[in-house]
Amino acid sequence: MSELVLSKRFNTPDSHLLSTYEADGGYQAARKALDMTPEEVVEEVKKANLRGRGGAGFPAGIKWSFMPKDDGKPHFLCVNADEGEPGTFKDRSLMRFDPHQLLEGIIIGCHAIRAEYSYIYVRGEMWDEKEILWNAIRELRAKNYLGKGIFGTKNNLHIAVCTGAGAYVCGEETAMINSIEGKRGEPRLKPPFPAQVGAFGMPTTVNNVETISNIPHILKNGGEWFASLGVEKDGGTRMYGVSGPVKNPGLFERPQGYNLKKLIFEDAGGMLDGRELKAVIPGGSSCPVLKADEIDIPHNYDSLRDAGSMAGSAGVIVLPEDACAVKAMANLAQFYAHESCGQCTPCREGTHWLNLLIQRIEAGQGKMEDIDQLLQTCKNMMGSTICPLSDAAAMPMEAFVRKFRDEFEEHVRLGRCPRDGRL
Amino acid sequence: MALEFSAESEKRINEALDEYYNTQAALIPVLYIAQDEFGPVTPEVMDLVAKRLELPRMFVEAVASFYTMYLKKPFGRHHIQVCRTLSCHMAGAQNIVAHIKKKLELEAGGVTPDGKFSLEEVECLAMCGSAPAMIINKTNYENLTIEKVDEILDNLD
Amino acid sequence: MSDTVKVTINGAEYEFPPGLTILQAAREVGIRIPYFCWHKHLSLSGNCRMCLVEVKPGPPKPAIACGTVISDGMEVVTNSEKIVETRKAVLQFLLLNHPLDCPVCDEAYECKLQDYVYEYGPTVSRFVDFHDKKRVYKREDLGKMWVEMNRCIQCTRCVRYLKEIAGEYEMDRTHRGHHLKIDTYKEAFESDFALNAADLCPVGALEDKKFHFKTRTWDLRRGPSICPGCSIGCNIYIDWFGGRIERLLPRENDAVNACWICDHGRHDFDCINENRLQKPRVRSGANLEDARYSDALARAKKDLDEIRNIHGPDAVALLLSPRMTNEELFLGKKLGQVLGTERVAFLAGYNHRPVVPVMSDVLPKTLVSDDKTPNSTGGRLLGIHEGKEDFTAAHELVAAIEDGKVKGLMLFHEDLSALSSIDGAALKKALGLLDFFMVVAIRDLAVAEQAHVVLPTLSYAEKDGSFTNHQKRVQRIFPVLPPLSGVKSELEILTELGRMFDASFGYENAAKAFDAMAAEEGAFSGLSLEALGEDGLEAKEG
Repeated sequence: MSELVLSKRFNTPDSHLLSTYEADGGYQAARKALDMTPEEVVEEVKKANLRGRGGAGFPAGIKWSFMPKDDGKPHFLCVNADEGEPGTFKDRSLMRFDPHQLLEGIIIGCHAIRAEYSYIYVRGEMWDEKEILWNAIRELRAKNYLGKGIFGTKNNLHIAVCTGAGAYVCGEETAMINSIEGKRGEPRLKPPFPAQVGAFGMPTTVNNVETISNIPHILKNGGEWFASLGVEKDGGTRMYGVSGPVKNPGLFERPQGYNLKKLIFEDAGGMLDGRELKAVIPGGSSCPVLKADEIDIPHNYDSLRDAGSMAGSAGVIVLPEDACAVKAMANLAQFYAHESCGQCTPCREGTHWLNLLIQRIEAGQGKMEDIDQLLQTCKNMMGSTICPLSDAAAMPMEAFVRKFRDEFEEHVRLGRCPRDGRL
Repeated sequence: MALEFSAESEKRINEALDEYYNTQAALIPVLYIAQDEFGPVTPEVMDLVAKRLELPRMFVEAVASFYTMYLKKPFGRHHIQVCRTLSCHMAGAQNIVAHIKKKLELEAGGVTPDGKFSLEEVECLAMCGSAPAMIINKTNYENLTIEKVDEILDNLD
Repeated sequence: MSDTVKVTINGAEYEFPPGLTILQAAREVGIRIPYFCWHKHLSLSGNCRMCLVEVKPGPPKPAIACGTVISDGMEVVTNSEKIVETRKAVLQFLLLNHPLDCPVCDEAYECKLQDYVYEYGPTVSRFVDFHDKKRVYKREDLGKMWVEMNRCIQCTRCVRYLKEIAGEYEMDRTHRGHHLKIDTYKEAFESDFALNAADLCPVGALEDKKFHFKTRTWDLRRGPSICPGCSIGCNIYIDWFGGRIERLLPRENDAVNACWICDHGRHDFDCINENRLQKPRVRSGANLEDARYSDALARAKKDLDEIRNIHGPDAVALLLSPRMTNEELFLGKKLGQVLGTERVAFLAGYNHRPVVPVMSDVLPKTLVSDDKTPNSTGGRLLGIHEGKEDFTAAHELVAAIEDGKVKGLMLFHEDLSALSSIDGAALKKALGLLDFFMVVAIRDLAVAEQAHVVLPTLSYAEKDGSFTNHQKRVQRIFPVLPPLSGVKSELEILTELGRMFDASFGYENAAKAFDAMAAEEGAFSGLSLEALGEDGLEAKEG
């Protein structure tokens, strides 16, 4: 078994309490970081090759370095815990089992970007996790690890938990900022980028829960150590989630670039009930699907990009051979139609249109030209909207149609689903 | 008569106002507080929230209608939200929903006549690794089976 | 930093001042980029995705021309095959749920969606066999407006306008995605500026109820004018058909009203279409009888001569109106001089609000004046007596009649009986003391029943001339509508009267009258009616 970083304490009794966290050496990295200059902290994170774990994979250190200096404005660190990408369930565990790891990362991150405010935006449905985080924050406030002059330094820091209320699009950073401000979760035009005009009009960095949870370890053990855990340009480990009909679904912390096939067939125990593998969605539902013969590759940003997909949030969804590919995609099409914010024309109309078309095909009512229309609509939705949700809806659809066109055509020819809608 | 927040809700609202950068930022949590106290977020509830937070009434409606967790229709004492998205579907979520519908004689979006249960099919709850999953009010239930659902529902009062 | 930036658009290099968006820059050199949601007075929303263009350097995906600021060395392509495809795609998406009810839509012919679909070519209806799945809303009644959500393209111009310009946040997006709706929590709009939102709507989703189903827009004829409803002098277009005004629309003038007018002004045209005075009337015993202008004016001449002979020239009074043009007021003043009377006055309105440019604040503070007349400032600049604010020319006049000092009165437009500060019974009694009382108006006034001569005249929509607004901006009105048959303008009436009293004004048209005014009145010196153009010019300090 490779080295565990993020999930090392998951099985510690009362792992969510400050007492156990400190007993395990917690908040030493924060103390160390607060003695460093912000620039030195950013440098260390750059050295770690830590890439954003939310899905886009932007290098975290570089993102931090975009924050202005000496601008006299309050800065914000917003932590994206709006985990809602189908197939993704890592942030929930990171918050549930090790909230202080996240909070220590926030303390360090806020020092690095000179932020005095941090909001953790947790999706609305995660009632337990919100409470766990609040309790952890209260523990810190009681010890003056948060508040004014934290850890005896001149730094002030206010951390609060913000709640979502049922909107996947709030996982997009500018939509999240709007939601934190109490508005509709509609993505904003960029530029201006959040580092210039973010939450409440102030310079803001948005990082994923998993990204920030790595920070204490980078400061404790050094950026080079962290980089060495992963592959080139992708430092550290990843919280891979495997769901679908495998023997042992769940979360697996493995090094960046872990072999996808091995993850499914060894770590997750292989297919359940002797079913065959049909396809894998490698990083949450927005990533183009890979067929069974395409998965013997390292799971990291660049390798999956080369394979025509994306590492995304590392939520791996496994589809069995007996599942209907049209039904699977139809399920996701409904999701995206439900979650489009509706601002941009191509996404508002396109997500709904894709859903109508694919439901019709799945129901056996489709026509052959509907299949090309799916592809055409996907093409028209990509790259033409404010945020990537339109692309996120179109990319998997395009891949499903392209890779399983025979199944789509079979639905039209038979006038019914050959697998009776089985998944 | 115009609605008013209870003392308990007022306390929660003031706590929220202390935590966030400005009043508007407290709108999302305050809508939950209102929903906890009054049930569905009706025009009257929105009137009250707008008044309490001194926000434009239109703004409150624009926000409340955007987010799906603010329920606009009446819901039961136990609001059952079963995930319908891919991983849960593959793990049998449809069977769970069908069973709940039959057991409680309830359609998705409906409320039982006694007001005890309401059912909603929702999108991914981030419990894909322990699918199928559901939330009842604020409690998660994972790795559901028909038997487990029976046990859960039978033990709710 | 240099004063200009070099930008290549569709292969040709141009120089622009810095800070323009691609949309604005392209427009300056005559390259049209289609858009729905952008408006120069509204915040950027960038949501319609119609104005996407290719931009280098930059990410591979197209950028919105409305929200991308030009920079030196930028290369923009607005007409590539890829961009045209993108625009067609946006139109196709918009048409998915659009009802295509152009035959019964008031917006037809003025609809951006219609125009762009025409420009980018026909498209196959994607909703073949999906008719039951179209998004359908019921038409909503918002008091002054209909909301036809089925036609809405969710551009949010109306929302941004009401929030940012009208300062009345009564409308916003509700719900999301496919169900995104423009909605209000109100039963009806209270805003006095709501209908500008209907103008901004690029499709027929918001409709002015007063115009609804009145006429097809392509049948309308249009002319520029000035709203006579208050002293702001909003620039308007008069759209008319068959001699009737069908609607009034704001005409853009950033110095005055930007693109906006108030709903009251917009709807205030029935008085031009209906119940107009058509024929002069002359008193014969207890009755007023139809007459010709020549007979009516001869009667005026005769009666006025008598009064002047018996009581002296000051026994004749002229009460002019701030509803008259500058030229008419000038002639009124001249007529007073010809008659030798000091008693020439007008009933000025007063604007109690600060004079601020319209874009600096929300509309209720800037676009409506307390002075409900268009030309008080003109009268003031001409030095016509207006009385004190709390004791107007009208009070002085009534007092002078009661004292027997005034025996003849020529009254223009102002229905004195409608003035709340004047006692109706006392007024009636005073008017009864007059030996000669003439009323000039476009419609029947209550005081006219005591008149000896009543002269119909033309409305602002039918005549040439100018008004001076509260900012001292002299703005031209044009004879947009054909004049009401057989009715003379005040200019003609005043000129005729002057001739009867042996003065040759010789101003056969408004332009000549304006020139004479410019020569004699310092405030208007250097101006001419022609020079005012459609946008107007500032008068000098009076």
